[in-house]
Amino acid sequence: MPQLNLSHKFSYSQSYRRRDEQVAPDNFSRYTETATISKVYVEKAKEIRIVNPLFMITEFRSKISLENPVEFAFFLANENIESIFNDSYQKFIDPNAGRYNTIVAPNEPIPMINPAVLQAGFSYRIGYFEIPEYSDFPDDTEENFPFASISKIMFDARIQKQLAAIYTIKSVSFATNEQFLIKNTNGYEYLYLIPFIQKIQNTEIALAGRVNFQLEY
Amino acid sequence: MALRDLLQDQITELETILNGFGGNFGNGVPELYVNAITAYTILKAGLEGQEDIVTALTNEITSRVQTDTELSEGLNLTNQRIDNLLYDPVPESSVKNGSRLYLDEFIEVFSTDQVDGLEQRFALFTNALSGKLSDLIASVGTGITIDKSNPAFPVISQNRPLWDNIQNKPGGIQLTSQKGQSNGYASLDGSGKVPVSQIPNLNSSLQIVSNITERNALVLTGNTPVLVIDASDDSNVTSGHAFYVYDFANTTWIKTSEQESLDIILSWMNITGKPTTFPPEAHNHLISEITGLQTALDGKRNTEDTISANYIIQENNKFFVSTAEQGRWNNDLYDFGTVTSSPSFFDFGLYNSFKVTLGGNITVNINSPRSGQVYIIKFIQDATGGRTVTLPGSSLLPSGESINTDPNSISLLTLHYDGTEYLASWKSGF
Repeated sequence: MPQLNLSHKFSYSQSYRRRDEQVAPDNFSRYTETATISKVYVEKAKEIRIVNPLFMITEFRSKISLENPVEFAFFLANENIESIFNDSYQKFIDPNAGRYNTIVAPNEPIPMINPAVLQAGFSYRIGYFEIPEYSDFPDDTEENFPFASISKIMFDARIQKQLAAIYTIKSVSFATNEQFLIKNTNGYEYLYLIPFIQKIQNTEIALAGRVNFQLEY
Repeated sequence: MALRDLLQDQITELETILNGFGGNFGNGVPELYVNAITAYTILKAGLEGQEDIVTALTNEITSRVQTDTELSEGLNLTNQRIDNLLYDPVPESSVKNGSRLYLDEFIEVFSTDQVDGLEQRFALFTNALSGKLSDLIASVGTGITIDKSNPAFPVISQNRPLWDNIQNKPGGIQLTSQKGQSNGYASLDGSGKVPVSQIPNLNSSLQIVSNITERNALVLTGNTPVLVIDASDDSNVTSGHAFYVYDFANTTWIKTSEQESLDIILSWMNITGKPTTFPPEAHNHLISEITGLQTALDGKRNTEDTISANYIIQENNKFFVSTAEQGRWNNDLYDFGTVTSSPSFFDFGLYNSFKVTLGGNITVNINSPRSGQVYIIKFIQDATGGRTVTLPGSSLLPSGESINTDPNSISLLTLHYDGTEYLASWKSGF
C-alpha cells in the first residue's frame, strides 16, 4: 500500500466592493474570488486513509468578522470535474505560473490541471474577477455567487463526488491527530483539496498556507 | 576679519621684516631677528593647522547633513508606520475593492504594521499598567499599607484610616474624652450618680421681690417661682401682688395668679356642679345692650307712615281699580267727535257707551271685543245727512232696522256680543 507524504500549498482570497462605494452606473456590488485547486491521483484505490492533517497558515486576514468561515474540503471525484468552471463568466487563471496570466473567456474551457506539479511547483489558481454580486441590479435579488464561485465545485449537484473531510481554516496553524479511512467504492481517481467559502462575505479575505498529511491507499 | 586672513596678514608682515634684514649680521644675529623668525614659524604652523581644522569641520558638516537626512527619512518612515497603526491605510472606497487578485494586494489592507503595532501597543500597555501598579501609593490619612513586594500584584496589607477619614460613621457619637467636659456629657460616680460638680446650680426656691423691676433683675439658673408684692407694672395686673413662674428654658415669665384673680381660664364645660337648668329671672335690657337690635328697628316702618299700594297684595275680594277701569264701571261715555272715516271702537273692555257724529260713511271696527258685553253707540247725522254705517261682518240685524239718515237725526245702535257674533239693533226717531 503506497504511503505518501503530501504537502500542498493553498490560498483563498475574496475582495468585495459595496454598492454605495461607487456612483452610477458603477454603483453595484461586486466581488473577486480566487482559490487554489489541488488534486492527488489515488488510482481508484478502494480504501484511502488520510493521516494527521497539519494546516500551516502563513497568512490569514479579514477586514471584519466572517459570518461563514473559510473551509477546506477533502473529497474524492473523477478527473476533470473542474470543467464545472467552464461557465458563462470570465475567469483569471494561474496555471501553475505564479500569476494570473490566462484569461478564460465565458463558456471557454479552463486549462488542464496537472497534479504532478502541484506539490513542488506553483499552485493552480482560479479567479472569478469583478463579478457583480447580483445579476438583476438594481433589484439585487438574484445572487451570482452560487454560479460564479469556487464553492460550486463543492455544492453543484451535477458533480459526482465523495466528501472525505472538511476543516475550518483558522488564523493559526493547527494539527489534527485524525486518521480517517475512506471507502472509495465508486472508484474515484482523484482526491481534491479545495479551500472555499459557502457564501460571499461583505469584506476582504485573504489567506494562504500549506497542508501536510499522509495518504495511504 | 576671519582668523585665517588675520594670520596671513601677520605672516606677510613678518616676511617683509625678515627680508628687510637681508641676512647681513656683522655683530651676530640680533635678538629681534630671532624672535621674528620664531613668530613666523609659529604663525605659519598655525595657519596650516587652521586649514586642517577647516577641512575637518567641513567634512563633519557634510557627514552630519547626511546623517540628518537619514534620520529625517527614518522619522518619516516611522511616522508613516505609526499612521498605519492608528488608521486604516486603505480608504473605505478604494478603487481596488472588489478587484483584488493577489494576496499582496490585501497586505496593504491588513498591514503587518498594524499587527506589529497591536502587539507593541499591548506590550506598552502591559508595561504601563505594571508601572502604574508599582506606583500605587496610599496617603497617610487613609492608613492603608500596600505590600508591593510583587509589583504586578500589590496587596493591601493594612487598612487603618483615621477616625476623621472614616465615611458613613454613625452620628451623635461622643468620645470618652468629652465626658465631663464642656459640650460633652456627664460622668457617673461610684454610686451611679452624677457628681455635684457636673450639675448646674438650680436654685428653684421661692423668690419674693418688691416689684416687677426687681423680678426682672433676678439671675436665675432654673425654673423658679417668684412672688411680686407690687406687680402693677405688669400691664395685665391692675394692682396688688402677683405670682409668677420663670421658664428657664424659654426665658419667659408665666403669671399664674394675681391679687384679683387666678390666671386660670376655664371653659363652661369643664366646670362641675353647675345647675342643669338655667331659668333667668325677669329683667330688662337697654336697646344698646342687645346686639343688632337698633339696626333691626331702624329697618322697620313707622306706624304713622302712609303705605304705598305697591306693598299691598290683592286678594280674591279685594282689588285695586285703575282710572280706566273705574270709567268703565261708571259706564262713562266716550265721544269720538265727528268721524269721516271708519273709526275703530277700541277696547270695548274699557267703554260700553260711545258717541259718534257722522261726517261720512263709516264701518264699525271693534277691537278686542269681550264676550257677553253690550255696547251702545249713539250716531248723529251731520247737517248733510245720508251717512251710512256698515256693521261688523258677524252682525245679525233684525229686518227693517236701519240707521236714520236724515240730517242731524239721531240713531242708537245696540250690539250684544256672545263671543261669536254681534246681535245688533237700530233705534231712531228720537
